[in-house]
Amino acid sequence: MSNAWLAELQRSFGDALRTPLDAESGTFRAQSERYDAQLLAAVRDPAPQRLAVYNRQYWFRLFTAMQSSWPLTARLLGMFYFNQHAQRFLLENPPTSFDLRVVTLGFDAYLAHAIANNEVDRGPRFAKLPKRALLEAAALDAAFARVFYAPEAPRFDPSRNAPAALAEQKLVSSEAYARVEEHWPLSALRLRLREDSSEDAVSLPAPLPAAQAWALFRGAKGVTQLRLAPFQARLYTLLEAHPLGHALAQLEAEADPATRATLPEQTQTWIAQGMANGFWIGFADSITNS
Amino acid sequence: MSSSLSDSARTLPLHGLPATALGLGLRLPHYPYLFEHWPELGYFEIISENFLGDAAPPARNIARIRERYALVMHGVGLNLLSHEPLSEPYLDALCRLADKLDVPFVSDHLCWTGSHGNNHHDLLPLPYVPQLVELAAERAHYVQRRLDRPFGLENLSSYVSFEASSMTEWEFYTQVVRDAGCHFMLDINNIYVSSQNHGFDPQAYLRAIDYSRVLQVHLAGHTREPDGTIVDTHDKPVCDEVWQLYAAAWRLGGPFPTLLEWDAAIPPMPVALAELARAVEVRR
Repeated sequence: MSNAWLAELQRSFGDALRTPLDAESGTFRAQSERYDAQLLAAVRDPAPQRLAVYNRQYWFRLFTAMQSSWPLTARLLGMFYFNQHAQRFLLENPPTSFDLRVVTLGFDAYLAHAIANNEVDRGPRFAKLPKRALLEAAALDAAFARVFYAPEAPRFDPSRNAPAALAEQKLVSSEAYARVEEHWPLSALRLRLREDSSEDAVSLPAPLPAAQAWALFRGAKGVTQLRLAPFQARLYTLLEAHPLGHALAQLEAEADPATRATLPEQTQTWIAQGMANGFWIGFADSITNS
Repeated sequence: MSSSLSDSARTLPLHGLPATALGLGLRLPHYPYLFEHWPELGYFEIISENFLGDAAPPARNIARIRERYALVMHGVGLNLLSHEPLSEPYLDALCRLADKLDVPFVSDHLCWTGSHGNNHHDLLPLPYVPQLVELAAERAHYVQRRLDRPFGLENLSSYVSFEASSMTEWEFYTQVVRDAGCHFMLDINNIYVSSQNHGFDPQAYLRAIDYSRVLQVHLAGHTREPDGTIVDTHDKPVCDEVWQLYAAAWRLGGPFPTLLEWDAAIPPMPVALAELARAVEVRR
């Protein structure tokens, strides 16, 4: 059966759905004057108004998915401006997956690119926000989602499969673990916003006196945050790139004498903490060989 | 909760659920109440796509729920009427989930949801023409065979109709189901919404259905826009007109499992369960 007419109808209907909503007036308005004339002729009256229902539905369903994946970023920008950025992102990256969450992936990279190139009308909210704060917010949202939706991984039991030359082994991070660094108390703000269903923009809190690192990992009740001491964060960073022995030696070399004295005990505690919270899924060699 | 919500009356041979069973569309905001109270209920319906991925939390949650409740699967991403072929990887994942959860049946919509590589994440209408009956029936038959269990097609809520249509919606729907040898997943609210948007008689629609092939009936709320268009928002209680149509369908062809969908402005679970329980009174 030839379905050329079906393909053509679905192409023009799809174009109508993706017609961007116009935000110039302060609300999102369907631009039904931009729908294909042949499509309008194929649809019974009132064709423009009824197609606009689908057009708006398309965008608002996607806006909701984006707000759900990027809650902190959305609230810092305010929903009206966030939705405009979401629309631009989705025009460049139209959904191809049946999974709505997958559709929202990559907005952090879009935002970084847009900021770097000054290529978007950033709106009054955008102008007030330090670029770095917005990027940290997007990174935090991305990390939360990545950790929450990671697949199940077997618990790492080093006592069962630890190879003899432990110092030469490299730990493999779990997908259900991430580290983030913030210069504003954004993770605390993100937690607070969970209980706040308003769509109003929130103010950026005052900057922290020093950068703060967090480990995010999936616990029994969702994503848990663990505040990391500076050397603890550094250890976890080193463990991502180097074998255990090299990471520990490097950490020791970076420490001042007073810190160095307490490091052996502290590193044991930090590694145990990582093990207990599922930061790693095993040694690289064991995983490769299994 | 009334025990009527877990009525264990006669079981239809086709799909293993009690014919009078009442169910609720499972949504994320239900989880805290559900995991604390485990209310009495005939079954839950899940949105298939929410559980097709490899993320751990949805898999863990649904395994916990499956231990206590019967589940049925309802999809929104099959894309039955696209000009492009059905997605085999999608069907593979759907079959795996149906087997894993041991569901009595699976349903999706008589519509298209994407084309030219794009997924529109909406249930979209087409002209009602014999050429599409053939396409839909052939594909629905194939899907049912792949699933190896009854497959139900749901009628749409729609906001546009097409000049090219040469059949009524119910002629199209019943012919597809008959030719495919599949089943009706009859949405009463959708019949009402479309009847108001397109000016047809919902009772004529109900009289055209072969109730021996109805797997399940859906109920939901909707919203009337200022211009009179009714939009299928699933954000309110079921309106009186839809309850009346449900009662009429029950008289014509009951019993059938009945499910309430409440997808936006989701109330506390006891409120949704109380709304669902109205079905028992309405069908007396």
